[in-house]
Amino acid sequence: MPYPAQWPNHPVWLNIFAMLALLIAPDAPAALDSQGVFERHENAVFQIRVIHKETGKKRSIGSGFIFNRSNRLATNYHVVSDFIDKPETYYLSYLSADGVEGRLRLLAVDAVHDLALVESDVALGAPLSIGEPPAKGAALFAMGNPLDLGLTIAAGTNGGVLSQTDDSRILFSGSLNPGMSGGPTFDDAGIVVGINVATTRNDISFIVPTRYLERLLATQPQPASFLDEVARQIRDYQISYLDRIKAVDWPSNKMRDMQIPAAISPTIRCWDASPKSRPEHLYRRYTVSCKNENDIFLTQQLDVGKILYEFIWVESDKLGPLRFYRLYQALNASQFGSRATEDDVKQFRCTTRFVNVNGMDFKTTLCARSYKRYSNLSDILFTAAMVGKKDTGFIFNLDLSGSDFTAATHLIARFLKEIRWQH
Amino acid sequence: MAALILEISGRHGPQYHRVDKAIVRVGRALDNDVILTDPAISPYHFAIRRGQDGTYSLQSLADENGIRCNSKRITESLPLSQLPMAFEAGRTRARILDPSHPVAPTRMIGCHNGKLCLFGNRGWALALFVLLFVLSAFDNYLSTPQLLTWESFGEDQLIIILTALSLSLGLTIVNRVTSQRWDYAGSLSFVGLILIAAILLDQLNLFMDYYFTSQTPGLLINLVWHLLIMPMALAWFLIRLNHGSTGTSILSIIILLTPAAYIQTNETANYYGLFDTFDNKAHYSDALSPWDIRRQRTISIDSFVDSVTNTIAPKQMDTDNSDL
Repeated sequence: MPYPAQWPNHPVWLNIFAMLALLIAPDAPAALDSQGVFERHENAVFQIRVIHKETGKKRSIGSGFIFNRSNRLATNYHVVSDFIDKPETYYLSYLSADGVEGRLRLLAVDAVHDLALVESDVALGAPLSIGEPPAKGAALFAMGNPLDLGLTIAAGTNGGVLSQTDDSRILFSGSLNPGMSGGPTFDDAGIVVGINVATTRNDISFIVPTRYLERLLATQPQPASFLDEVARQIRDYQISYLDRIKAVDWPSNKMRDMQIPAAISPTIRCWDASPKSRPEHLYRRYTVSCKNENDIFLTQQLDVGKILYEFIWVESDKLGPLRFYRLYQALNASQFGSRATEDDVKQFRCTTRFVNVNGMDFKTTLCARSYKRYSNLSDILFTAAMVGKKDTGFIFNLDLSGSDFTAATHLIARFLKEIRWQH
Repeated sequence: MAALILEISGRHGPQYHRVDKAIVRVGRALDNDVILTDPAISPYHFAIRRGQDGTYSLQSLADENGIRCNSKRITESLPLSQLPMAFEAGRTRARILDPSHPVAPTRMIGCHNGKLCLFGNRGWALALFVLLFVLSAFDNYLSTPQLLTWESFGEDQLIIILTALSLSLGLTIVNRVTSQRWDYAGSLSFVGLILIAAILLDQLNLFMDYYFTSQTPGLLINLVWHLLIMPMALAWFLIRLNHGSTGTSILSIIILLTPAAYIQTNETANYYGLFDTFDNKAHYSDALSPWDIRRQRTISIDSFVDSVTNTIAPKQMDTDNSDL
């Protein structure tokens, strides 16, 4: 057994190791496991509830944790959004791990990053420490109340800040479930490094970096109308987001004879969405579809901030013009995909013009509808179909949900300037 | 006054009886001058009497059910001063007519001349149906951007033909109800013409949409088609061509055409936002044409941005909660 036998022959190594251990030990507490994190912080995590005033029953639940002050809780905007939408119908309350209930009042929201601060009249405990997320791959522990089953903790790892979410989300490779939203995510030192926010299941979950929570403290005092405040934040973010997209050079792709902008921002991903080609088809059709991943929760039914665009190329040397245009006509039928109802938005209003796009004529339509309760937010539908070719068609569709009309039109103009027929 | 004519309506059309005796007695008893089978009729129900001065009167003989004229029960003798006079005996409808009462024009069997032969000649009906088949097949061919197979082409054609035959059968039944006649050829011709017009109308609408860069002309054409042309054409077919009863024909037209007219009116109203109904759809001119014939000239990208800003940009704070 040569290996253990060697140690006594190297006393110097042992001495250095022991010294390092002595030096580091006072400042580096032993890494906590999930049980350690849970036991240390279970009294600082609460269930946040939206209660109907008439029935006294929960409409929705989430989680929250003591932050900044002993009577202040941090949670998600989407946990309290029903209350913001209808404050005359609901009120907010908390439930502690040991079963104590109490009223809460809304203090501040950050709809863009899905955060909210609420306050109680009584002290709830010591505020948790917050910090930056650890290195990618490090252990994380998410606490919350999944499915109203009681406080629990889920272990996972840090997947890093996601550029495709405009740096607003950290990937958490662990299991978040409904009800855990707004709960804290700890590192192995028990420091809060993020706020649970969303999941796509299969252990792919998302948390909000704590730096946005610190910024939220600066937004006080409380606004006169949280609805208007939410609309203002989303609109300001949309303007700044679209401006940042417009400010940079766009990568260009070739799609048959057309030069097109592809993924114009790190937040946007493009995919080939061409339909399967079949031998009986007398045409060729290709589609590139792009969308952003940083959409924003507005209400239980509506997400906004979505940018979705597609390029459709269709050509045929076997169909005559009449037959080809029947096909082309059928493809030119863009509609806005949305779950908005008449309570949310007004009717679309459209304008159609023929526009010269780098030497080619396009039949272009822009439709817009404004939100009824969120000031100056609009859904935008834009579609442009190339005309004048007997055997070739090209369509560009762009949808923006809950955007700023002027910023959207400038983005559309930029798109049209970037689309170029390669003669 | 000369002899009168008694018209008795029945399931198989009206029957006519000459009233040229001093007393003509009507009822279910077999010794009447006119014998009726309606069980609501008394054995001796009513009589038509000629007076000394040659004038006629209607007299009720029935103990049960009696005679009603203009919804009033006749208990005594009613002089027949104004003809025609309609009345109800039991459940039987009857009229007393003057022999000089005009009769409907003779309906031609086997038409050889004139424009209306389209609706009376089986040859024309078949020709129109063949034309519909050819036109719809061509339309179907244009709309099928792949090799033609039974699945992609034949089934659609079969559906069109079956639809046309079903509509013809429906119209034949309506025609039978309104005019008491079976007439397949006329109904086939009429349905054939309407469907041919509908196919051409679709293409006209697309052309107008592209030419004017607006859905308004197409919507107006559709509205006129559904609210004016179709009802008038059907009224002409049932009342003028087939001499159907006006009331029944109009009722049939209302029942047949109201759904389509309602849908079209609703679509037009939604397009212009006339009713306060919500529609998640964006309505815009989406027609494309290989010939690019249009009124609108091409503008620059910047002009387009100006144009949409001036026309559809939401007003600042244009929201329902702006006063909160």
